[in-house]
Amino acid sequence: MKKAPSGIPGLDSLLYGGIPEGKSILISGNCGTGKTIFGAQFLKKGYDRGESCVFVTLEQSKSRLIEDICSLGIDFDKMMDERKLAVIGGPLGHISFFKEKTKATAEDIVNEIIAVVKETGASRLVLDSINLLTVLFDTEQDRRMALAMLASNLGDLNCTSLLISEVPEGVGNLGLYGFEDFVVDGVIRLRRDIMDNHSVRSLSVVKMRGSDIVSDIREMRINNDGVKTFPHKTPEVRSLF
Amino acid sequence: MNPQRIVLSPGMQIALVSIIVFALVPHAVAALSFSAGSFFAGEFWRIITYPFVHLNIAHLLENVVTVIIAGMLATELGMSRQQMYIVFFGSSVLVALTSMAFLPLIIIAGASSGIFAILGGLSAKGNEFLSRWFLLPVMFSAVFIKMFISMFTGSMGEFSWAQLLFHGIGFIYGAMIFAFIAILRSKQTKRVLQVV
Repeated sequence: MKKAPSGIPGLDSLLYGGIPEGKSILISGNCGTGKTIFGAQFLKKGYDRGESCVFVTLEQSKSRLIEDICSLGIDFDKMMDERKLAVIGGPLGHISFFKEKTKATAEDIVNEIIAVVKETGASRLVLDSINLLTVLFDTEQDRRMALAMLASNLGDLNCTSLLISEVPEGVGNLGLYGFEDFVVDGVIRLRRDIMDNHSVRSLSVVKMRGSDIVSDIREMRINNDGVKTFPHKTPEVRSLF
Repeated sequence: MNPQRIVLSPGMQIALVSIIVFALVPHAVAALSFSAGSFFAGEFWRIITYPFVHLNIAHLLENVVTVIIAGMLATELGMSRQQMYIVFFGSSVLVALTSMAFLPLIIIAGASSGIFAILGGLSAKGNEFLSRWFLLPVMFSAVFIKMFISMFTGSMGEFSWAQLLFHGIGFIYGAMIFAFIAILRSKQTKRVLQVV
């Protein structure tokens, strides 16, 4: 099975080479665990390999996202100018406004993501965040079907996708509604715990269909260069939860 | 800081081009108007240029004012620039082809059939406040304004039935073209994330 290098230093050794191509991976974590940076590094790796990428933002405006990512040394503007990156979306309030204006349905938005991947020939996608996409649907069944359809279609297009999931602190679920981790092909959990008044970040590969993994918890750090994993270092964490 | 770009509405663009052609193109009517004879003689450009040609200053002023108003109404009802161009030029071409088929001796010039096409298109569109079923008959009645004016002023002898016909079919073509665009769009993926 072909694997896509993750772009996160240290992570590929936990995945035995990288993320299986065409799979959808849930990046689950609470606040401040570096999920968006994780996604940006993943796309930067794709760009370095000559791949086209898509970033779907539902958290913040495109300009704010590009500015924040640029501060890490990842030049989204350059990637977009070279037509190797498409950034679509915006704050959820704006999306809801345009959704009403165009009489689009939530399914239309999922179809639009798939259409953009097809049109750009993207082999990597980051969706930040899956929580806000599922807010557009009314019932849990619709949310589940939409996520399954998105994952399935992206897989058919051989697009490796990271679906970012925000989980409140203290919640054991890997997704907000509790079903997300069952629908996707893989789950990487990011955590932020407290030890002696310091934040200790850690990462674990919870699941990866079709691939061996090292499932132990490993220490993770975020600095000016982005997210980095220490594949041989287990964090000493006394979790509050 | 980038200077603000001034973007003219489609109605204003059409008006401006018409004024430029009237003012600067010598013998514009002879060179750019449309007729079956000129088309079959190989002067195909006339099928696109005739809407910008006007016979005299009164004809020009009448069409410049009405195209700007029609464009504003269409924008107000949510018609996009692209839709306006497609309706205006698409209908102008169809009107020319229709005149070739049924009135081959007539020479046509002026933006009025395209203007009525825009009215037809915006009527077919409607919105949540003005239903298309209200707008279509109301706007179509504008086709007969000149006829009613001629009747009241007793100048029916000068009234052009060909002009009434071209205005009417321009309106109908505009409505049909817009309906076709709307059907095509409904089958396409709606774009929300890319326009936010």
